[in-house]
Amino acid sequence: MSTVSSLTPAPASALKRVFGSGFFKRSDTSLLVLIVVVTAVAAATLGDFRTISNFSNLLNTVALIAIVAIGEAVTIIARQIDLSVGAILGICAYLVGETTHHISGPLGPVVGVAMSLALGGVLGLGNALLIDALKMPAIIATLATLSIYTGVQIFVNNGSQLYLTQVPKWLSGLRGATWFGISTFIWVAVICMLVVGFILRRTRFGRDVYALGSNPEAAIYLGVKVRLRTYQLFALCGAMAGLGGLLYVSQFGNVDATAGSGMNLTVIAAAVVGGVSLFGGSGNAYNAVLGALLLGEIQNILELTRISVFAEQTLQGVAIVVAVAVYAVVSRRLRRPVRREAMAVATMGAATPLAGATSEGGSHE
Amino acid sequence: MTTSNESKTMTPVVELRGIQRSFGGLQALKGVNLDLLPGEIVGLLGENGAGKSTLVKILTGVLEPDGGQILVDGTVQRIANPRVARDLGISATYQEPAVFPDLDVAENVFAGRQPMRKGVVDWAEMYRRATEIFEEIGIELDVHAPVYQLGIADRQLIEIAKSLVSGARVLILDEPTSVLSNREVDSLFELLRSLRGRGISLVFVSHKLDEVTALTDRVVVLRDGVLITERPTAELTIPEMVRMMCGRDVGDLYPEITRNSGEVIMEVKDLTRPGYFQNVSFVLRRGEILGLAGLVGAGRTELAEAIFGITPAESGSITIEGHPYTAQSPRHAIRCGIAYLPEDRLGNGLVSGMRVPLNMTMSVWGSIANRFGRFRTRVMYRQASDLAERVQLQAGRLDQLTSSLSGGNQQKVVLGKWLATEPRILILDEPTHGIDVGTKAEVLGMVAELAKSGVAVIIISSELEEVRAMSTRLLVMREGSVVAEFATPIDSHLILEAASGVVKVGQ
Repeated sequence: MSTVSSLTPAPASALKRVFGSGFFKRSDTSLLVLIVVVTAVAAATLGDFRTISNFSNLLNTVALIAIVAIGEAVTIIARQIDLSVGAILGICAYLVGETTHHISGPLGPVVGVAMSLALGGVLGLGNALLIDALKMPAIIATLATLSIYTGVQIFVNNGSQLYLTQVPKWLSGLRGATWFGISTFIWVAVICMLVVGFILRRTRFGRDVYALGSNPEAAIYLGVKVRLRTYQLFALCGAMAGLGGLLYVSQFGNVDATAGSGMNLTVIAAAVVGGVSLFGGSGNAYNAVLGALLLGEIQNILELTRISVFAEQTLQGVAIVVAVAVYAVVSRRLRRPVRREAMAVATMGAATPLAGATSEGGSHE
Repeated sequence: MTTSNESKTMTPVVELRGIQRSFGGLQALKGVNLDLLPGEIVGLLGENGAGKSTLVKILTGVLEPDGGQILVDGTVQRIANPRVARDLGISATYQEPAVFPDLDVAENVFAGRQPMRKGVVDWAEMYRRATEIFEEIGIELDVHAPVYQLGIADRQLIEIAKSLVSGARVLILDEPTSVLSNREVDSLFELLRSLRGRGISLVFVSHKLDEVTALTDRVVVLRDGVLITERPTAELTIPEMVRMMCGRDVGDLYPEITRNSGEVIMEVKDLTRPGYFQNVSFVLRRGEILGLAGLVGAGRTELAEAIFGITPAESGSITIEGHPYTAQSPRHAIRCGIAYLPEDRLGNGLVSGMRVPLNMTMSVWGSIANRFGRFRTRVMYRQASDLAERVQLQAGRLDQLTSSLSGGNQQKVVLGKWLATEPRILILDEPTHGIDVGTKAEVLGMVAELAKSGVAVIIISSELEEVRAMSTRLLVMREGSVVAEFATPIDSHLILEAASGVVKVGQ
């Protein structure tokens, strides 16, 4: 019966002391190994994969997915979900591209970034409003806003398209720009990861997110401000999607009414495949990045090998199923409460040999 | 134990004056007066429905009283919500601790009030203070461990520590021991006594009268919303407590059991499910009550679930009346004449949002529908009322919601549901868990009757007295193995020794 006692927690390592007991679990390590293996195999077998231009393109795509997925991860940790991020991204992409076009000089980037964050945040607040005021489950509310926001997107686009030539230089050039030799996209993604990671770990808001995701009733009972947190949560998620919209303009140039429509599932998949529990309460910003890396890479490989676009969708779905299944199995193993095998009656007098009770021997220990 | 004389001179932390509370037309509390003194443990007793939980909810701000006053430190207070209660230093822990399984131990202790420095959570300080408070009250837990790894006993300790860091002076424990093993109960009591020594006022709500006797200084008995008595524990015996709780003599709590075991009905051989139980073999005879004793986690429930086909065993064999039986699904088990009352009545035994008749006849719905599949409501009602009579169900109306029944009556509904299948083998898992004394005697009486009529009964119970008094034969399980078999009557300490592994061959 060593199965019971072997689950007692090992002493925490120094890293865990700083980042918390959930930091870099074994599943994260195996995911990282998987990413490395996929990269190595692809690089060895696909000539097109190991080119510099493919790599920078791949990493930009990954960064874009990661930024939106980080916001999504926060909502999922809080046992909510946001299905509307793709539409938020699309609206922000078009409006930010269109607006900054009319602003010249160094003010452009500032306005662009501020506007994408603010616009995305406001659309996120719209989600929270439905959830809070109408007491709708997030999955229904954001499914509705996905539809509404997509409609808005078509309306503001007005059938037209934003072309790369209409976009200001700083924005269109963002894709190729580097800072200390590293693409700006990656910088943005890394900064987002660190900032959101810090928020999750070190602020009351962040801790409430975990509490709400882990045991919502207990959280309410403890006096967690559920309504406030809901608004903050969806504003954050929306703002990240807005920022994603900004980068989307630069990455793809053309922004039409369908921009971002494939993004919803991809970012949820990235968060879940990366190790954020769909059941809430666990996961981290870096998990979304890991998931984005794997999914972005698979997407890239499928494009290079020219397997049909259907396969891409299907594989993405399969990845979700596998991730959730693995999670379910692992957590069932892990979460069976360890009952400390109780030894009663320490105070009992001298042990008397029992008739009929003595056939078991000492082999049970 | 502190004597009640010296506590009389102290000023109470909390005074309840004429507390009233009604639900609809039902008066749950009819003017209750109660003082809680610092440094004493009060046992709060009463049958289900006596008003205990209403009183606890009023103290913790979950409910507000309709009449009466609550004084904290001599000033009248309105406890409008749980937050106010906590700020006043009143907190409660419940049977199933409300922890955050994904968060670590220290954060659970400080949940909602994490120490902050410069606007951000100060983790180092949190771990330091959690370690400190654990050392102070003698809890041995890794503050970094995620709580999902911990058992219920440890989660309860976390809840208590949480109350302490929030500055609780009154700590209410609602049935804290019902899910604990004996050893865990002992260490919990040790902790509670040390809290009493620190001047904390404790309210211990429990159905387990031997524990009330062992732990508390003063006993308060509620019946039908009225405080019946308030006396030092030392002046009361358990039968007296029972009488005051019920308002009548329950007679002996345990029925006379008949020893008329007939031929073998079921034979279990080398049943094994790795990690849960191994090489379990026994025979079950018609008309006998086979007790399964052991500590929580000894594998008894898992064994019952394997026989009933919920999670089948991996190896071993079962025969029923000489024919091989494969435990493949509960449906098959029912067809073979097995019935199983699960431990988790609300989770697995009932559909609590359903009305009683539907619930009670659930096991025989197939036979209620006519051959075209139409559900014959009138037949169902007739069957349900027969069953209700058989199990002595006390319900206002037969078709009330099952969730509105008391725990004891809910259990009777479950029992009725299984009686409808006319089982030959009845497996009862903690059948009286959380049930008041009067109903408990009734349920156990029915079990004895069933056995007398030839049903083979297996009874799993963590209440030693119950399993000892009810069984005609007794198996003791420990760590997944059957370690002893006794013919009853038998001394309880022999059962305990076998269950806890105090005795080993060759030592």
